Amino acid sequence: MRTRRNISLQLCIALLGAALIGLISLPIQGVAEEKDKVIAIAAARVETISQGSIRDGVIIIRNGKIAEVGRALPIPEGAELIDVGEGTVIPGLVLVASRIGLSRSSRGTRKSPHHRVLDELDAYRNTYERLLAGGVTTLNLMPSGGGVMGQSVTISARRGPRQDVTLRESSALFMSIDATTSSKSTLRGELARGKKAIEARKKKKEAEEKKKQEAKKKEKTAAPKKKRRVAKKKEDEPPKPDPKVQPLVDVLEGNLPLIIRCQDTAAAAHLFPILEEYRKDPYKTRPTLYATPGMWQAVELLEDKNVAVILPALISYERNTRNRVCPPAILSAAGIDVALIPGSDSEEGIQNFLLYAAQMVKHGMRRQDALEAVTLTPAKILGLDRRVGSIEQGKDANLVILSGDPFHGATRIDQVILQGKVVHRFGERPDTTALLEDKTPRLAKKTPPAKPKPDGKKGESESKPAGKDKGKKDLAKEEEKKKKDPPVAIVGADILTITNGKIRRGTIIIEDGKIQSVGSDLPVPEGAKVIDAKGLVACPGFVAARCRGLGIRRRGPGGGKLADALDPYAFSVHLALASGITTAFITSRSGGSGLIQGTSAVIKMTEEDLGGMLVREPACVQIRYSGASASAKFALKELLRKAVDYARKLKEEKAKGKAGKPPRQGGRAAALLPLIRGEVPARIAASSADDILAALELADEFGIRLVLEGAHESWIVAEEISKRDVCLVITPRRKAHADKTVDRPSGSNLRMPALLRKAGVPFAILSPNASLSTGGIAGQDMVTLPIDAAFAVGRGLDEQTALESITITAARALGVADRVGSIEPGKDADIILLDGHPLDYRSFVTLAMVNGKVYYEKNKSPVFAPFGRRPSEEAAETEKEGAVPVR
Amino acid sequence: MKTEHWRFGRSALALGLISLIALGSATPGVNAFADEETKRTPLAGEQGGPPLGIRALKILTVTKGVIDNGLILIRDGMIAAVGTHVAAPGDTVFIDATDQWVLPGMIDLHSHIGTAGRDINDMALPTNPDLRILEALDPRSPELKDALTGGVTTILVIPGSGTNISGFGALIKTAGDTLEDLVVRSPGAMKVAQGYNPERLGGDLGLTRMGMSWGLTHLLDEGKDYTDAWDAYEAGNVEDAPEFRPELEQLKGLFRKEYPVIIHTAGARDVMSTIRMFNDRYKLWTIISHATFNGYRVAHEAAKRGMNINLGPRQIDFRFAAKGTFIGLGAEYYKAGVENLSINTDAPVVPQEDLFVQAAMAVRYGLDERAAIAAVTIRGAEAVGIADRVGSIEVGKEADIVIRGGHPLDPRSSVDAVFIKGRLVYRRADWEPSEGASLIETIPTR
Repeated sequence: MRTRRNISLQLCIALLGAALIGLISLPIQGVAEEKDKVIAIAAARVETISQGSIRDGVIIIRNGKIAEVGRALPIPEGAELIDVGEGTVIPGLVLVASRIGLSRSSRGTRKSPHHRVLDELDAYRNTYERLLAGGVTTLNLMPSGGGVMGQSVTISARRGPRQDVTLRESSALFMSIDATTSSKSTLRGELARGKKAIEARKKKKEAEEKKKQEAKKKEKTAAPKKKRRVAKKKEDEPPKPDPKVQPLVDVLEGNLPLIIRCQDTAAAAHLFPILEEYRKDPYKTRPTLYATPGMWQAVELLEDKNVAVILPALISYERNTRNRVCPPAILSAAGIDVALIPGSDSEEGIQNFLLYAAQMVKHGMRRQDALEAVTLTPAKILGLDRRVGSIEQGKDANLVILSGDPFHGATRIDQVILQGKVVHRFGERPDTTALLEDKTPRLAKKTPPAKPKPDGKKGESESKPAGKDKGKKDLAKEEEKKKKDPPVAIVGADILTITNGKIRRGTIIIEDGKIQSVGSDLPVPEGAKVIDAKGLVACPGFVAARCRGLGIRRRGPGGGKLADALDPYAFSVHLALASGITTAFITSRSGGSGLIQGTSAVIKMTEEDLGGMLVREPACVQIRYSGASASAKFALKELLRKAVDYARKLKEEKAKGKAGKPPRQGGRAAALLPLIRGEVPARIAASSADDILAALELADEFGIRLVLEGAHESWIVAEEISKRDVCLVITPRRKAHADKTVDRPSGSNLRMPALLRKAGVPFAILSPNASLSTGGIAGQDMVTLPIDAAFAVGRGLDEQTALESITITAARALGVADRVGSIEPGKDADIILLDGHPLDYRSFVTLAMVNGKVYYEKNKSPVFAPFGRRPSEEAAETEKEGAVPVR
Repeated sequence: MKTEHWRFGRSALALGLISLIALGSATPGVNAFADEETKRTPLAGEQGGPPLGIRALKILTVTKGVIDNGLILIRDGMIAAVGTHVAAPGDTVFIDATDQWVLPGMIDLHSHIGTAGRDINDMALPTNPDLRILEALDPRSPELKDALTGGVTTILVIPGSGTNISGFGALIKTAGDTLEDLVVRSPGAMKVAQGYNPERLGGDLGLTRMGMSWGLTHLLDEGKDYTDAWDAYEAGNVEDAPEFRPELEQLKGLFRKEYPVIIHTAGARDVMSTIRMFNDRYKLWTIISHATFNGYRVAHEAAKRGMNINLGPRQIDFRFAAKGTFIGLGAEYYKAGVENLSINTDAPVVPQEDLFVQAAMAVRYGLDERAAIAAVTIRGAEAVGIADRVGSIEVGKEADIVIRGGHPLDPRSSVDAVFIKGRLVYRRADWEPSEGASLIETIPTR
C-alpha cells in the first residue's frame, strides 16, 4: 500500500513539474535542433546481438534511429560524441512480460480475449521511466488473471501520451493453462470460438465468390452499370470483426503472437494437444510458453515443437534433490529460444534484470544466449524485432552503455539512450522529459499505430511474429519418427510369463511396443536393439490395483477429470517405475454425488510422455456403500434402477432404428451406463462379512460387476463370492481383530489369500499404505508392493497366485488384462527386469519398460542406485534364496 | 512465582499418584483381569514340566553362529542345551522342525502397544519423571497377540513422545496371563523426547529447543542432586535423611544405572544434542531411539562413544538426502562403526509384528544381514541390559524361541510357532484352526 501511495505522490509531483515546465515553455527551435542532432557513440565493444560483437565499435544515431554501426567508423562532423572508452554498448533490454505499475493480478478463469492492458495503462506515471536505471527500454505489459487473459501492450520505458509511449497496443494474446479440466475446457472453448468464426468467414467468402461468379455470368446479359453498383455495395460493408472473437481469430491464423502461461510443467504437456487440435499449423507462427522454472524437465517435449519459452531467471533443483540446475541454460542449450524475465516482477527486480541474467550465465547459460534472452528473443516473440532488440541500422536507438562486461557483477549502467536521447546517467534519476514534445499531459496528435489486420499485412516497421523455419534438424527428426522403431530383444533373462510358466534364459522379442514372441531359443531379428538380461529376472510390470497420489499434479484434479490433471513429470511416476509398477489405478474423491464418488482412471507410467499415460477413465464406479445410511442406499438403488431403465430404453430406441434423440432421462443415470452395460465394475470398500454380502446383493440386483476392496472377512464368505464375477483387492498383512460379540468367525485371517485361492476367488494385492512413500518408513507402501504378495506366500499361498495378484489378476480387476499383466505375444511390452526373484525383499528393479520403451534404468537414476545385489551375489541367487550365513 | 506454583502442582499430583500406586499394590493383583485358571499342569518346556526338544534345520543362535540340523533342549523355561549332539532325557517331548529355521524371540525397544486406548501421553506438564507406563498396560491386549504372529517376544513399552519426559517404560514379554507374568523389568527405561513431538505449541516454556533443554537439564540436575544426597545418606556419610521427594524417586535408578534412558530424537542436530546432554554431561546409560532423518550424519560421534542406537521406524531417508537417492539409515550407522545398533517399529506406527520387516528393509537398503538379525534380537537385549536373559539361543537363557518356515527376514517364510520361557504361546494353527498344525501336534495348544 505504501508503495502505491508513493507512486501516486511521485506522479503528482511529476505532473506538477511538467505543468511548471510547460508554463516556462521551451523554445520550439531548441526542440527542432535537438531532433536533427547526430550522436556518435564510440565504445571498446558493441554487442549488436544480431551481428556479433564489434571491437572499437561506433554507432551513429540520427533522428532517434541507428543510422550506422561498425568498427571504427568516421565520426560525422558536428556530431555529439559519446566516448565510452573501455565500456560496452548493448541494445536496450526488452522485458517480455510484466505487470509492473499495474494492479495486482486477479484470480479466476476468464474468457476475455478482448481485454486490453492498454486500457489499464497510465502512461504519464514515471514508474516505467525509472526502469531505465536497469537498462530496460521496452516492456510488454501483460493482462492479469487466468483463462484467456487478454491482450498485452508493448511500451517504451518512458512517460508521455499513451499513444507515444506505446510501441504496439495489441502485442500478444495471453492465455493461461493449468492441468485441470476447467482450465483446459476454457481454452478449448475459446479457441473453438475463434475457429468457428474463421469457418464462418470462409463460408461467407465462398458464398460471395459464388455470387460474384454468378454476377459475372449475368454480366454478359445485364447492363454494366448495374453490376458496378452491386460490387460497390459489397465494398461499402466490410465485415465488422467482433472484438471478443477477433483476437482468437488472429491468434489461430498466426497474425497475433500467442503467449501461454503454463502453471506447471504438466500444464505444458496438456497444452500441446490443444494447440494441435485448433491451430491449422500450430507451430508455423511460433507460440510462446510463459513457464515456471520446472519447465526444464520438459526439454525433450519442447525440442520437438517450434516454441519459444519465457523463463524467470531463477535457479531450480533437480527433482527431489539439492542439485542445482539452470533452466534457461538447459533449454537454450537444446536450441530452444529463451526469453528471460527477472526473478521478481518488482521495480527492484527489473532494475536488476542484467544481474539476474548474469546469474544464469554463472550457472552455465551461454553468454550469447543470455544476451539474446534479454534483448532480441523477447523482441522476436512480440514481433518487434525490426524496431528493438539489437543494434542494427534502422532500429530504434535504444542503447545501454555499460562500464564493462554485461555479466560482470561490478559493471555499472553508465548511460541509457532511448530513441536517440540520453535518458539516464549513472547516479541520476532517469528522465525521459527530453522525449516529450509537449510537457503538458495531452492526447497525442499522432494516429495510434495500426492494429495488425486480419489478413496479416502489417506496417513496414513491424514484422510478423518470427516463425523459425523448420531446419534440417527438424526434418531429419520427423523422418526418423516416421521410420518404425527397431525391434527390441530382451535376451538371457529368466522369464516369469505369469500366464505361461517360467522360461529359463529366454528371449522376448518386442515390436511396435507389443510383445511379438517369447521363448527359449528365439532368433534375434536383424537390427534389433538387444537388452542383455543375463542373470536377471524378467516379469510383467506390476499392476497397482490402487495407488494414491500417483501421476497427478500436486494440487489434484480439482473436481475435474483425472485425464486433465495427469502429470508425466511427477516424481511419483519415476518412483513407480523404480518400484516395478507400470500400470496403476488412481482415483479422485472429489466430484460425484450421493454414494457415488469422484472419478477413477487406469494409467501407465510413460514418464515425461503425457500421450501414453491414460489407459481409461472412468475405470470403475466407486460406491461408498458399506456403512451408508438406509436412505442413501435407497437413493442409490433408485438411481441404479433409473440407469437400468435408461439403458433399456436406449437399446429399444436403437433396435427401432431411431438414431436421433436419446430418451429424456439422462443426467446422473446416464453417467452410470458403463456400469450397467458391464463396461466398468463397481468398486466398493467392504470389510466385514455383512458388508460384503450386502455388496454382493447389490451387484446381483442390478447385474453389475464388482471389485471389493479391503474385504478382511472375505475368507468367511469366500464361497458366496466365488459364485459371482467379483474380484477382490486385499492387503494380506492388514489385521482386523475378531469381533467377540458375534457368534461366527470374524476378523482377518492370515491365511485369507490361501483360503480365497482354494475357493476360486480372484484377488489383487495391495500394500498397507497404498501410495508410493518417500517418508522413510520402508516395507509398508507400494514401493515394495511384491513383499505383500510374499506375505501371502508365507501364509500358505502358492507363489504363482501371489505373483498373479500383483500382475494379471490386478489387471483383470482394472479391466486391462487384455493389454497388460503377463508376458504374452500381442500384449503391451510392459516388462521389468529385476536382480532377483520379484518376491524377494532384496530384489531391485534394474529396468522398466512401458510399451516397449525403456523408461527406467536403475543405474541411470539416483533413486536406488547404491542398492541391490552385486554381480557375484546375483549369480549365486537365481533360485529361491537359501542359506545366507548368519553368525 | 510461576515456577513455585508449577512445582507445587506437580508434587501434589505426584503424591496423589504414588498413593494410588501404593493402594493398587496393596490389593491382590495389580491386574484387574487376573486369570481365573491359575493352576494347571505344566506343559513340556515350562517350569515344572517335562523337557522340550526342538529339532531344527537351522538354529540361528545369533551369538554363536548357525547350527545346521541341531537340537535345542528346553527345561523349566530355560535353554538347557543347544547343538548337533545333545543328549535328551527320556521324557523329552520333541517338536519336529527339521524343515524349519529357529531363532531367538525378537526384541523391540520402542513400542507403544498393549496400552489400552493409546494411553501414553500426559500432556499437562512438560516433564513427568513420576509416571510409569505400567498403569496403562493391558495383558489381554490383542496387539500383544499380533506381536507374536511376527515372532516378537520382548518389548520395551514406553510412554510419549508428547512431553520431554513422558514417564518410565516397562520391559515386557508379549504373552502372559497377568501383568506380573509379562513384566521383565519395571522401570524398563525412562522415556525422554527431544525435538519435534514434545514442542509445547501452547506457548509455555518448551516451545523451542532452548526451553525444552532447559526443562530437561533443570530436572536432571535436581534428580542428580537428589540421588547424590540419598547415596551419601545411605552410605552413612550424612546423618540426616534428605527430604523425600516422590516425583524424583524413579530418577535414582537412572543415576545409579539400574536402567537406561531412551530418548526420542531425530536429525543430526537433535541427535547430537542428545549425545551431549545424556551421555557427555549426565553420563547416563543412554539409548538413542529413532535417530532418523539425517541423524546418521553424526553417527561417528555416537560410534566414538560406543552409544546404543535404536533405529526406526524409518529405515530410509529421502527428505534430507541431497542427491535424490534413498539413504539406508541402518547401513550408514553400521558403516560409521556403531556397534550396538538395534531396530524398532515404534509400534503401532509400524505394526509390532513387522519388526522383522523393519530388519529386512534395513538389509534391502544396505545393512549387513547378520547385523540386521542381531539388531532385532541380541542388540536390543544388550542395550537395555537383559542380554543375560534373552536375545540369543544360548544355554542358561530364557527359552524365547521362534520357529519359522525359512529365513527370518523373508516375508515368504511363515512364523509357525513362538515360545516364551519354554511355553508355546503362538502357533500358526491358532489362526487357521483346520490345517497346518501337524508340525507341532505333540504339543496341545491352549
